[in-house]
Amino acid sequence: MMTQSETYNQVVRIIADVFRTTADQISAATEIEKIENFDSLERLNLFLKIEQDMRVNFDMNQMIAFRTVEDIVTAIQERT
Amino acid sequence: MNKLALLSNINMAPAQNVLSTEGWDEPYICEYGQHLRDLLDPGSSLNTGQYHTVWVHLDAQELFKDLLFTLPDAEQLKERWQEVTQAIQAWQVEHPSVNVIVSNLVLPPSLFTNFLEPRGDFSFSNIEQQLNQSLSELKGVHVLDAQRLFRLYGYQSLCDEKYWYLGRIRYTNLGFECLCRELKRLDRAVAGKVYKVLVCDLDNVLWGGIVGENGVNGVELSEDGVGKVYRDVQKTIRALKQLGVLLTINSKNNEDDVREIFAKNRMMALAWEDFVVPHINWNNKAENMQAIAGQLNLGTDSLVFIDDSPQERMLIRETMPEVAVPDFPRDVAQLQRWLVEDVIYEYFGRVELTESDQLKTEQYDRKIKRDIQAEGLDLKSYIKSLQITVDVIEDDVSELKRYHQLTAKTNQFNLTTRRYQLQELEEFLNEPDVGVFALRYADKFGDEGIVGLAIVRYDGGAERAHIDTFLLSCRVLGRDVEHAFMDKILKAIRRRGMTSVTAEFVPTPKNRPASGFYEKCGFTAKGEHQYRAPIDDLVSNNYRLAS
Repeated sequence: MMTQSETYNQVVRIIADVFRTTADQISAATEIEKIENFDSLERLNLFLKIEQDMRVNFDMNQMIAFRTVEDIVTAIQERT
Repeated sequence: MNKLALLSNINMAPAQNVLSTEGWDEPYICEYGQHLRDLLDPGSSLNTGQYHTVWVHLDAQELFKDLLFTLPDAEQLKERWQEVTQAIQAWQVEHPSVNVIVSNLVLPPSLFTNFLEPRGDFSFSNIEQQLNQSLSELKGVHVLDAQRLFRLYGYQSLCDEKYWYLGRIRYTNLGFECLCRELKRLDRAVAGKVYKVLVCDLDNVLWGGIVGENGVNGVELSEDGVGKVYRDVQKTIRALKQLGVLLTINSKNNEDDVREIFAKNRMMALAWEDFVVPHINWNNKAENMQAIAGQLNLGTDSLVFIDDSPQERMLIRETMPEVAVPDFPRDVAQLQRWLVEDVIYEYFGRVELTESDQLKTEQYDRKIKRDIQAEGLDLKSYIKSLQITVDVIEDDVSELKRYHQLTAKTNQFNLTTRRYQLQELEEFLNEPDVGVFALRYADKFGDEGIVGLAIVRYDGGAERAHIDTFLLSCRVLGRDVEHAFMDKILKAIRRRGMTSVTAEFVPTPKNRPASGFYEKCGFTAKGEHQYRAPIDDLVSNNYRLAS
């Protein structure tokens, strides 16, 4: 089972990869829709990748509700 | 060039990375719902790009929309389907050199018609079957069997409803990976880029255990449990011969022990005679692989090697990276499924089959016998001893599939290595200004069938013929058959009233055996790799060579 810190680091890595940015541009408080290169398709790609790489499954309402990086990390920790 | 265009009525954007990983150059994915516009608009990205393959993948729910919420109306469903398939067919006719691949439709397994479905009266799935059947009637179109993937993996593992409702993305990551992998395999099969030989280890591949330790009847091979896995594997490997795949052995064993198990174990589904040039010894397996390829006169890139030993697999991968070496399953229960799904579909895909394919093992047995006969003879005496007869047929449409196979697979003695689609070859056969010549070969060891192909374009106005394609199967190289073939073709050209002939040689890494051929025929070089000569000079020169 991953620690909160490990989960956060992995989520940040995935976000940086999907949005073609760098990890130092992202923090727990970062709002997903404000990340550079954000668009609605990349948002879906982000969750596709998180679900695959981190072996989690979000439900639809959760995915709609996510605002910040911290929201995602918390949801993953609750599921694992 | 390996460019792909993907047309779909749903959002397939997440396939982009998967397609690039599968080796497609700059895959183009049409905008959501613009598949018909791309097909019909001459200025679309599809029609202005130059794509090697076009894949049309339609989602059944999106195609039929509200029609799936009323009792099945076959006519309306058919009309929606035909709107697209007719556009696909029209596009394909305009672009015969492009591989067009269309996925068959997959309806969701849960429909409001529930238990009425299997009855037939109110059945969407019956109509789905009929619509999918109609795909096979489209000319020049190959079907990607998406239904097979859904049966294999299950709808729920390939599809995710939340992505559908949020962004019209139907598939999970697994779904995209499976579809894109299937596309790549099918595209390779359409292009004829398939392997030719399955090289098998023996212990723990064809039977459980080690024959040298367990003895002939002590290995696991039966109609029960683990033994049945191996028996089913043997049956599948044996069945591959019918697809034209050659079977051989590369095993560290005493040959006597192996021959004994083939002779005496009654559960063996494979016979010794099913294999060509088996290599059973204590030599390095990479050396054996080289020897196998040499004896079969095939490149090592034609070989697929299956072995349970990770060390042996690593040896071949590192020393012979051109040989395909799939990973071997750890769980013996998965062995049969792995063999079909990960070996046969991956390396031995077929979209057509000829009678010649089914006789491959016998053909290679005859080749070995000829090679034995050749030992100790000079070339002229050897060729004479074969009692060769050749026959050249012109514009015979009955062997169309074999012509396609030859253009797709012949590398060594192929002067221009042009790969033509089936439809293009059919057009050549019907075109009055194109001659398609095929060479049939037989000798005292047997009939090899069609082993050579030439395509000649006539320019009546200039009284000139151009040899567009000239190729010969590697099975008959080294017997001067190429000059007999050229002799007949030149005489046919002269009968057409042509006074000169041009030709070209396009060098590739594999066709060095063909370099110098046109010079030997009597052509004069005119520019880089271009040749020309008066017909009368060529006819008399080649008659002498062919005699």
